[in-house]
Amino acid sequence: MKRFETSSIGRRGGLSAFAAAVLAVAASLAPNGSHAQETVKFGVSLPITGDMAEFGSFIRNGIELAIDQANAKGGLDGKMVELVIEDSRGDPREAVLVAERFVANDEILLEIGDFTSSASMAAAPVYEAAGMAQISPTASHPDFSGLGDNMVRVMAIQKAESQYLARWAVQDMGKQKIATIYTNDDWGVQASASFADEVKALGADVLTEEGITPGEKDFAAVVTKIKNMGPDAVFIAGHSAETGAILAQSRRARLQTQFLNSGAPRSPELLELAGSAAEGIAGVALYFPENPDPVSKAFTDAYVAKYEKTPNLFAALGYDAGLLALQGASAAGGKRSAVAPAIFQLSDFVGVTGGFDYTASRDPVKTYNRTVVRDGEWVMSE
Amino acid sequence: MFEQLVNGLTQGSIYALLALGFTIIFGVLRMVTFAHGEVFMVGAYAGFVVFTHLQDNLVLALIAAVVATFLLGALIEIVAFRRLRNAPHFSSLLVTIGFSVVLTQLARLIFGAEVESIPMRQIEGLAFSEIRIGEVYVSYLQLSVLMVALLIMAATFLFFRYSRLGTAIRATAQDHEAAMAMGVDVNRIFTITFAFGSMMGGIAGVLIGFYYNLFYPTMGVMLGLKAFSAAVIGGLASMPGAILAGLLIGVVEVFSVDFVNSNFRHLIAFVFMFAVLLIRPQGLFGGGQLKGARGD
Repeated sequence: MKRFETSSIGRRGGLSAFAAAVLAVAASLAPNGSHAQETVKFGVSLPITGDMAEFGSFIRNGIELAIDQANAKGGLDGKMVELVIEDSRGDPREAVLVAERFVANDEILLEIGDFTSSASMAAAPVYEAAGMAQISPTASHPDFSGLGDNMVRVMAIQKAESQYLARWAVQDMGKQKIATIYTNDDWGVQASASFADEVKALGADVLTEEGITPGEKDFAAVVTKIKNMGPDAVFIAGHSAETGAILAQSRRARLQTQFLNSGAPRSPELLELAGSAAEGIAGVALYFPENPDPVSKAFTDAYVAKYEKTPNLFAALGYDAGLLALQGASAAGGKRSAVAPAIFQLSDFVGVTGGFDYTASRDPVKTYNRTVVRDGEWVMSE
Repeated sequence: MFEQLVNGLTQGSIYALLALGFTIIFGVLRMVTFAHGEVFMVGAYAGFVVFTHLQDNLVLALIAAVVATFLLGALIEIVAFRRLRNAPHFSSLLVTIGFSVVLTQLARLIFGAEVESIPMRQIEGLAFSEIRIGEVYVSYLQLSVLMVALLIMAATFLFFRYSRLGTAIRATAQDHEAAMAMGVDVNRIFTITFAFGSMMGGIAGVLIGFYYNLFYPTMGVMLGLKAFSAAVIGGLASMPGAILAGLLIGVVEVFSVDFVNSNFRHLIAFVFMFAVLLIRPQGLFGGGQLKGARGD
């Protein structure tokens, strides 16, 4: 192995082709069953450690489930798919370093990741320059898909969700004085701004937009401030831990109002963290574990069987990213630069978080399900 | 306004408690530890484990945190400081950074990176009960955090002022060679002091863990940084300074959210600290030695 690595540094093309030929001969000469199986490698860049490791682990489980299922069915055109997982900590700087390692590794066909919009967007130029598909399960920043021809989005864009929630609050619930609290990162800023713009466009008032540092857990000051403004609804753009803590601390500060959320869709953790303080919060979901839809249900059952844990949206998006990667890789025939174009030829991609026609747009629009918390459970809103 | 003041004092009392740990350790060992935020985290998890796996009793959780962080502090002192007593200061500093990384990673291995919490349904009585003071309601838990923190601080003063061990620690802080000549086992005092400072961190950890009901491996990072800043602003070796600075930072943060925007919370807090240090480079109660309980 060492010899091949050294030689590929010298004259990459010819020598590595020669090396491949030698390998192929060696493989055919080896006795059946004991020879090394040919593999296709997918790079995965996710927060494995750090503040966002929680999301990384759900997404990773989802991706691994999709890949394991494919390998169990004979792999990708007979080749086993192998994941090369690297830790970006969700940090844009780390994500760039990971991207540089991935594109420099000739064995890696495509990349899945990163988790945050910020990290995905920072790494995008590296993947674009190398012509490597960058399939982000969760990047929902509007600009991500426009950064190049190789950026593939799985998640529906945040703007659509924020606007949907704003219309729900103003038009259907009749709310007129609304405050927002958002995680102060690319995603949260967008989520809050799109929501606030739509609220204003519909003629209602935005009282304040309060950003919170990611990882922050003390919200007593901000919820007390908002309470004193007398809102009739509060929109929280935050994940389970922040949203749960905001709800619990709102209860403690006696801020009683209609809460809406983006970022912790149907999260069971949120219910655990907030208890009865979560009662009545509204949110929309692309995935929910009780969904009887056969694609969704098959995923949920397989995930629970493998990990003994209920999946969430992030796991479902990871799974869908895995499916997209497999379909793209299969159509690309092992050529890096052909993966993203192959994905953008999929007119009828079917995933757990909904189907989408990638020939029509690179920004998936998916169908939202309205959900609320009633008696400590997430239920469909009527 | 009163509500925000209580919010600020609660947050500040945690900074103060942590800063007190830094101050006691620095005052005696003349060394800074960068593992204090992680000791805080270990205290929180110790309380969490006892509460969820043994018995749902807050006092027991507090005792577990005290014991765990006291022992952990002793271990850190022996590894990072006693063994490196004659090495350059940077070596000890580096070892404490090493401890902070190891402890965070261990917590991640044992508990996972996910945020852990006690199911709210189990503790809603505790989490959401409130006390009425005049026209306003104050959360029972918030008041408890504030009270326990103040109580611990008061106990610390009394300990240093009146107990034999406290006197020995103060003697060591003033001049450890002289203390040694007077028959004080200085190595033992160093270890006990570090363990004691760590224990304050552990208590703060339990208080904050239960107050927010959130336990996660990186919970000590930002708090550790703020508390260290509070200790510096307080004068680094002044106990009243650390407490006052901690409370001030808490209050400044909360009012910066109220009057400006939560976006500026940390920015304003750190700008405030810069300002204090520009005006008083030696800190609020700056000076060489461990201050506050000497009777001076």
